[in-house]
Amino acid sequence: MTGLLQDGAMPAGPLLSVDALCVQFDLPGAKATLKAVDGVSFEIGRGEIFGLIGESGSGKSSVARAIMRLAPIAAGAITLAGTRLDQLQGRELRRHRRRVQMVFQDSSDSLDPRMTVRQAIAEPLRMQDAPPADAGGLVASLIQRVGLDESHLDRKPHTLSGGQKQRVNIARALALSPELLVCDEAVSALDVSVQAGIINLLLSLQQELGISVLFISHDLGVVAHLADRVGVMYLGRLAEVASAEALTSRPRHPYTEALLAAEPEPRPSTHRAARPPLIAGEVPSAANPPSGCRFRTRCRYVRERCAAEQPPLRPVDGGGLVACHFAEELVLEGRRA
Amino acid sequence: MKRMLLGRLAALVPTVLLASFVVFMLIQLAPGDPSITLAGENATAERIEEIRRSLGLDRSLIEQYLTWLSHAVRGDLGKSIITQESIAAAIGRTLPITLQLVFGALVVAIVFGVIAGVASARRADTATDAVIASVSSAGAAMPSFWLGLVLVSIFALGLDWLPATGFVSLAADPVRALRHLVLPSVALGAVGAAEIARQLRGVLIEILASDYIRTLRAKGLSESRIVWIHALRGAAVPLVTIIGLQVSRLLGATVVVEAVFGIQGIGTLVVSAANNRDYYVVEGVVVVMALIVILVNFAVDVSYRISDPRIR
Amino acid sequence: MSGGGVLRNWLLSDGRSRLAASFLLAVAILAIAAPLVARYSPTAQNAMPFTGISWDHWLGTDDLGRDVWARLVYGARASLLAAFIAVGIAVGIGVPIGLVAGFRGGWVDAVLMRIVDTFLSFPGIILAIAITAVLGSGLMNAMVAVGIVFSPSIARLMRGQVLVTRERGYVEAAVSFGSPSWWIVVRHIVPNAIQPVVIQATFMLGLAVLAEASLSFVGLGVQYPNPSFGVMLRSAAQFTSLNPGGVYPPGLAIALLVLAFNALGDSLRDVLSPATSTRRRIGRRANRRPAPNPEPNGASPRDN
Repeated sequence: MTGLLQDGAMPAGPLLSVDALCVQFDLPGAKATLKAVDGVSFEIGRGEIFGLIGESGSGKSSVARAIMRLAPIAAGAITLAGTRLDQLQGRELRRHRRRVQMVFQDSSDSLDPRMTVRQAIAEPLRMQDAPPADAGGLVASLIQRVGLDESHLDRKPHTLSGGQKQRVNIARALALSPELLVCDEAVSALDVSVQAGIINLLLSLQQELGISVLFISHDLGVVAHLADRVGVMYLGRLAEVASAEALTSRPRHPYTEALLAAEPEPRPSTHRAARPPLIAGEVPSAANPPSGCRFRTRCRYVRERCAAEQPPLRPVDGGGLVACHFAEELVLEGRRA
Repeated sequence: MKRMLLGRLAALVPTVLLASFVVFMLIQLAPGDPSITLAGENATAERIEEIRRSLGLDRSLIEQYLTWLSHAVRGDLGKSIITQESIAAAIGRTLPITLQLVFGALVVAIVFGVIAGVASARRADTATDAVIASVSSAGAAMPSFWLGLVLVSIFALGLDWLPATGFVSLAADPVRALRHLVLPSVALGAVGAAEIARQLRGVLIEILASDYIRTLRAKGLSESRIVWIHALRGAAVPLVTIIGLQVSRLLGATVVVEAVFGIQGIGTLVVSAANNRDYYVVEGVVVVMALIVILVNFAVDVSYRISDPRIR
Repeated sequence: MSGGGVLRNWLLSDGRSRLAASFLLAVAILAIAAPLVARYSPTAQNAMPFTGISWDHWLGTDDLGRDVWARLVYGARASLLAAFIAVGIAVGIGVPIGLVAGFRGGWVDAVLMRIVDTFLSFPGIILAIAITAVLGSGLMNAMVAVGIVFSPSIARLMRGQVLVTRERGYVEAAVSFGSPSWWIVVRHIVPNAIQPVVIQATFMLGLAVLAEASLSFVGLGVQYPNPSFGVMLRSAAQFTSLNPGGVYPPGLAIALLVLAFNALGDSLRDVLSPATSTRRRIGRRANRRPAPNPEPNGASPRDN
């Protein structure tokens, strides 16, 4: 039914909406649960690239894995063009998986070492109820689309470079023509020079196919370059959501400011001495997060209210969403031009 | 410490129960009806039925198991169908003989295994090491009962140095007992020695490369003191584990070696019972053997925990 | 290179596995072609007992005047067949159990592993004797017993492998594009988890040869008058004083067969698991992946 809708007139509203998502893991040994994601809500529009950024342990990967239905969803809703992904089970779930595909961080680990590139890219096609008639031709066109050629098809993953493997992963993820592509740290493990090639590939594919992309990274520079809008996660919650432009030029959350300050300077040595790091200390444990605002233990603007009251994610002028009690008062510094 | 011991000991109970249940059920799969065997030829149907009832065979399997278990914990494992001897008595008669043999084999395995292991670790990657490695891999490939036959044909029948068969209790006549024990112990212990040598070599090479040993060398301690005292002490925990595994293997291998040397141990008992389809004897022996293995593993586990407080 | 180095290289080099493989192949051919290779029936009493080595009887005759060479090649048939049957049964039982336990996890895993551990607490040969007692003696029954006895360690190994493989990225990827569980198990988990089982099974072939010999030696395996290495040792053992050499042909045959299976297992392990063998892979492109967290203890090429 949803498929029919898409083929007809483009319905209004976002492609994906995540509403108050919670992801929990049981901690082995201790009888406690870890709330990796604790009430995260955002939307991704059709044809939009949405960036999700945060330190390791912020829960950004758990959000991706929940959308992929690879992580347990404790509460909340995930809706893809009218389909409640979080409520699908069994066969129904398997049928709908094709609509959201993922490019994983570890390009080697996500390819079966015993399968050739051809088998790997064809595998999703074979798993469908109605495999395409010309699967071979489709595989050949996919490999060319990601910048490799047909001579790579009969090779095993270990003969490919990291960047080539990630291109194969992208081709495999695109094989099912998904509506949403989730990239979880898809370029983090690659060399900087290889990263640029993969990012440009993703950008051109997105424009060509018009699909939506959820791009997850700890690298603010990469996310801001690629994404239309960016969500900033800290300890399982969203701290700020804004357009990439607004987020970098005028951050509204102290954590975003700290992340921008921690970015490597594009021109070294000019201003470095004038900008001390704005963030200190370790990320608190997600198993035992601070009361109130989770960032307060590391925030340089912290006040009494921050410990007592949890700041909701609320709209502020300028179109963004911020989870800070004092967003209107604080004057935060953005990225330098 | 005492609490840990008791806790570990309590954890053995379900293991032992499960093991006894597995054996009990296995024996139930045996074809034939012991009451028919017992009744003898030309027995009337009533007579067979009577025996069946007296053996409790008319009740459910679980009931039979619980009855058997309640007798077993009191030391009553039933009677042999063939010889009518009490099974507990038969095991009590044969087990000490087997344990004496296993003990002799263990001494052989540890002495030769440790010497060879230390020698090859000290001379790692030399000709000595290679020779020891080939000898031990050959030793591990030899069936112990065949080694026994070869030893008998050379040292007993050929050179007439040692007796070929028979058994004497250590308590009765230590000298004659040892003379009888040498060949079977070597036959049985050779594979264990090879295994101990191989594994100890690996452990020792790692220890000898450690900073701790390097410090001792810098202090000027003699190499043999370092190896035999300090390095071996470091290897104690893995060594105990290896030896523990060997006990279980020896208890099995002794079955066939006893046959070679005509030793009336528990192996001979279970083999003749198996050949005669005397199932209850087989059942009793297997349960007792499993109990011994479980207790040995328990002892290894405990010594592990005592020597390494990090494991809890 | 020192003399020791040369000796060591010879003992440990690939030549050893090549030697082992050719030996096993030769034994297999002899066993299959037994009727052509042996000039006598293995059960026919066609000469005086203990004739000694002669042109007519290459390895002499046994206590009943049967040709030892004929009995040896037919015995190889029984021993090899026995080994493959036993290991086949062990793999056939152990792999599915390990697969189910590792893939399902939870209480299924707990129950299965409890049973497996129970079986592991019996001394192997004694459990095999008990099972043979129940099934009745004979080669097939004895090998079923040995297979059952071997299966728990295969199950444990397989379970451990499945637990590791299950967490690999390609399994998650397969889930994410909607592959059904059976496909993931058959296409991804089994092929990537099975290697150590293959290696273990190779070593087990040697152990099974030993087990056959032991059980036949005590009368529970191959039955009179058919030959196997164990049966031959059994009859030779009764006449060690008359014919002390009689124990060598079957005994050496067993030892060589076991050695060959062990050597084959060693070299398989070297070839199949690159983590433990760096020696032979120099110059080959290492299949390293960018690890997010470095391996603890660093890489140790020695046996783990």
